[in-house]
Amino acid sequence: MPTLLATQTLVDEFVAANLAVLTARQENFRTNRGRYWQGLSTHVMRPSHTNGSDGSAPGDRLLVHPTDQFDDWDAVFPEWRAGSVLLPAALRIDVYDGPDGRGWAIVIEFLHAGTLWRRVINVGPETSRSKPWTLTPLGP
Amino acid sequence: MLLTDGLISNWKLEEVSGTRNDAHGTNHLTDNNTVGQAVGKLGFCGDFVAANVEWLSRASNASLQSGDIPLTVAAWVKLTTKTGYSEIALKDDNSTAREYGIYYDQPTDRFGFLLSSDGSSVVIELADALGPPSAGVWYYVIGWHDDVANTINIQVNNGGIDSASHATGILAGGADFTIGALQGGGGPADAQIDSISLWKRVLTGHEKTRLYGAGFGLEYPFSGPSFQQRTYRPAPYRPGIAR
Repeated sequence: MPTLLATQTLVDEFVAANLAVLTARQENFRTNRGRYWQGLSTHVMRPSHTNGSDGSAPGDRLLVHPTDQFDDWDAVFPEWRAGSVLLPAALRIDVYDGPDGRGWAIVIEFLHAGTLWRRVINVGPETSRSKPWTLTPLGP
Repeated sequence: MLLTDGLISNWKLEEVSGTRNDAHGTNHLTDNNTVGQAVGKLGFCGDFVAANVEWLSRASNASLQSGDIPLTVAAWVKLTTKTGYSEIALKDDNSTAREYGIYYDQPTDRFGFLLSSDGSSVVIELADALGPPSAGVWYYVIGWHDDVANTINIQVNNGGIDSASHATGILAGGADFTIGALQGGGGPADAQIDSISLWKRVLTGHEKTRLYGAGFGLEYPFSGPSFQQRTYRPAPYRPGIAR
């Protein structure tokens, strides 16, 4: 039974298991392209969990990319090729370029019993971007 | 009084990419997800694509924080589409550190100015005097908090002022200052945004008229003549020559 805490743990473990690979691919991308890779949200609808059900779902936006670049999730993370892996949360990669330098951040979101939870992991100079699990209002 | 008096920051958004510099202060902005550049109202502008979740940000600091003080936020805005919220210039995390900001309110089809005195709930004044803005048209949007009259106000294109009572001030919170989205990327703008200014004072009617410049605008450092001064200066009188 995935309680909120169990769901957060599940997501944390999933992200931790993939973070090193993602970080290495980001550094490789930057070496080759001069910038980090931006990934739009992996899901149209965020995975929705309840105390009685695991809402993990395959990403249905893995072939979508920003209008100003060509690389989607499938290009950078082919292991998650459509339908092959259940993701416990929606993931988005934001890239930034500011006065302190370049970096990127993973924005991790899931629903539990109808409430939205978000965590941000920063990789780069703007360390204040990292946020613990936070209950987040739905909508803009 | 000069238009630079009480001015905290002005962002011209003339850069192609990367850091957008503060022309007046030191609040240089970080580029999130590669904000584009386009021909703007005054030179170039930031071109924000909602589908790409693009925005500019600066971590909170004392110069950007408000409180129960006079505050004015202004920007030139051209909506690309009106299919969703377009956050324009704000200090708002959409959570517990909300402060102030101007934005396009899609459900009501109005520009709006919001304030929060507790960081969570907001008071919103909509630009009803303008009515629904059109996509593809530049507008000069000014929102301000008057701490003496205790009002929240918004004015577009130097037109009618929409105003309401607001006596509880503004939270001095820790949210990022952002252009083009809320902190973290919520409500991404599908718009072009240019010449954003933040003052810690209330502008006079004459000053707002000068900034609008009869639709031509006035670029920082706001020292040039207004459009009206440039246009209506009479030619010198010369006897015998018809004017």
